[in-house]
Amino acid sequence: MSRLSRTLGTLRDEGRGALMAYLCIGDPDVATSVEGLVAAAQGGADILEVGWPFSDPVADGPVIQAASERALRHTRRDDVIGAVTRLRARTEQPIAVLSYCNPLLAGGLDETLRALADAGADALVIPDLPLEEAGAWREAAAACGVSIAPFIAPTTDAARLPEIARAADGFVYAVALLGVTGTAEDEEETILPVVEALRSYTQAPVLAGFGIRDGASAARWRRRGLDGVIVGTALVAAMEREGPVGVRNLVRQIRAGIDNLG
Amino acid sequence: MSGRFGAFGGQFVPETLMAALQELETQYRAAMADRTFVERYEDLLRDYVGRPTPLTHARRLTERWGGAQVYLKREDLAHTGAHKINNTLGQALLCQRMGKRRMIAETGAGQHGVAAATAAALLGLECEVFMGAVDVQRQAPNVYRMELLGTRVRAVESGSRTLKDATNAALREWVRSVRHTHYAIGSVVGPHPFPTIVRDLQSVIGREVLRQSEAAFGQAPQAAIACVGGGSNAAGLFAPLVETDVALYGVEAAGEGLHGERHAATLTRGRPGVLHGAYSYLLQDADGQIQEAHSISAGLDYAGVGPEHSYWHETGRVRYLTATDEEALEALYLLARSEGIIPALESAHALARAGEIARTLPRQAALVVVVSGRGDKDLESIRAREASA
Repeated sequence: MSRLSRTLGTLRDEGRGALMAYLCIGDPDVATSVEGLVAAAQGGADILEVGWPFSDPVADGPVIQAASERALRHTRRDDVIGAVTRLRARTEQPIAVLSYCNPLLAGGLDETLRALADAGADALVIPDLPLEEAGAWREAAAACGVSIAPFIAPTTDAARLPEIARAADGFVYAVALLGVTGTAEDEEETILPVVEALRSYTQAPVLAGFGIRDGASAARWRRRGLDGVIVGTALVAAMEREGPVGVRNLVRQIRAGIDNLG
Repeated sequence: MSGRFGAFGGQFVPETLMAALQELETQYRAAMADRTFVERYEDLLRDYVGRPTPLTHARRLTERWGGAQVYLKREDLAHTGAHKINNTLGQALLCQRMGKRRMIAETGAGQHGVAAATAAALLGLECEVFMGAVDVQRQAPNVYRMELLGTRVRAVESGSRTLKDATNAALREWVRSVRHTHYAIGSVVGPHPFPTIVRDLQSVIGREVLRQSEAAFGQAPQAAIACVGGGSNAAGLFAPLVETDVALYGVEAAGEGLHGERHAATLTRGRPGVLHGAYSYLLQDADGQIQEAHSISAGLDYAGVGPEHSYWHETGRVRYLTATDEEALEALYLLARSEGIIPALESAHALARAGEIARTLPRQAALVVVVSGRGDKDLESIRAREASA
């Protein structure tokens, strides 16, 4: 069983919600961003999400766009892979790498996936890779022992759910709202019927991302029956304001929100 | 529709957009099979755009170059002054058919933005256009034109603040508003089915060229040439001709020259990768970060290219050449003074390579050059350049 499945399985057995913490590698510099993810682990994050900065992040809002721009002034491919290596050495938590398609393709897909797996990555989150395009990617990832998390969104057609369920070998990433990362949460909760429909095809944990910024909003998604939450924009903003200490404090607060249901 | 042109194309978009792309494909197919819809579109092309646009025999240019007879396909005479309106009218009709009340678009030089604003005004749709803040500055008249047409122009401050970033912003806005908004992309780029839809809507250019050539000189031309940024006027010219034996040429912007990085020669100098939803040739660094393109012509200033062009490039069906800023300017002066037509700087790139091709052909052969737009929008930047020279 993979490190990721073990972690998620244990959380489910204990009745606890999962917390995945995102930071953009290289913002403000590679070393500090690694410290930020270590701080997130200390603060109670269950999965560390390593953000690979990209010049054209179409699924991201202004906060992560700006972090990516800052990072790209000095962050190269090997820095991202090196960050995974360092995190693997310093933390126990599973590591998911968030990258858009093109940086993964540029050095050769197989080579890049192999390098990430060797560095200690457990999963990939690729926001511009829908299931229809993922075939060859999933095979290449599986060959390296890395999973690719499939997405669901409020607009996902029910007809696609069985296949999405089949692809869920780690967790399913539920885009909680219509919009980019960091969008203010709306009250429509339109993702919930999609999550419910998905549950009839798979037991895989479903984590909600986009718009979750504090203990209260994390607790809300937990109460709605999600297996966990993914927090990115709020942590990137905390890093910008207060560095790794700010990241640790916010992760602690969100952890408390999930565990005590706010 | 497979959504692939050989290895190129596809749908590399966030999950949120998949349903909208599938709906668009279904609705587009139904629309094209619906005689009423097609007639409505064709009526608008005739009575509103002014099609067919003429095929003008450029006699003095032909004499000067001393080879094939040169014919100009006059998209500059279409309403709003460029071929872009062929696409936006079709997409605005589709938007309406899908029951969506709002249309968004990206624009670089502002030509697609103006065409989108025009189609939206005609059909009573709400319209918002995303434009890089740099382009908002350098294309101020087109910003005003869009606003006059009732469109809201949103300046994009992220990234390089040009067309690439405007496209990112439009995609992000579409993700947010997809339930009631259609994204009318401006070229044969983006995720499937956009490259196919835009190519089909622009194919009126190539179909008219075939028909008009038959009428003017009794056969298809020997060669045809168009400029390529994203590549919509070129795709519209090529698509009806790829199955014939007409020699086809696309011309990319070489900017300040191919030796450096200040160019937009995506097929000539780029490598395949994923940008804006499609797998196609891109200008990118070794790490896969997208590089800034450069061209004197804002319409060619794009780091990507339509996936079907990547396919035609790899199969060799179309030959892709380049022209520098300087060569395009010279071609613009030449056409202005020899034929009394001031072309857009984009179109001037096609003219810049046309002379060499004409000279390789006999006098009884015909070469068609697409004048994709008129040059009014460029006068200020040309004047500024002359003043600083």
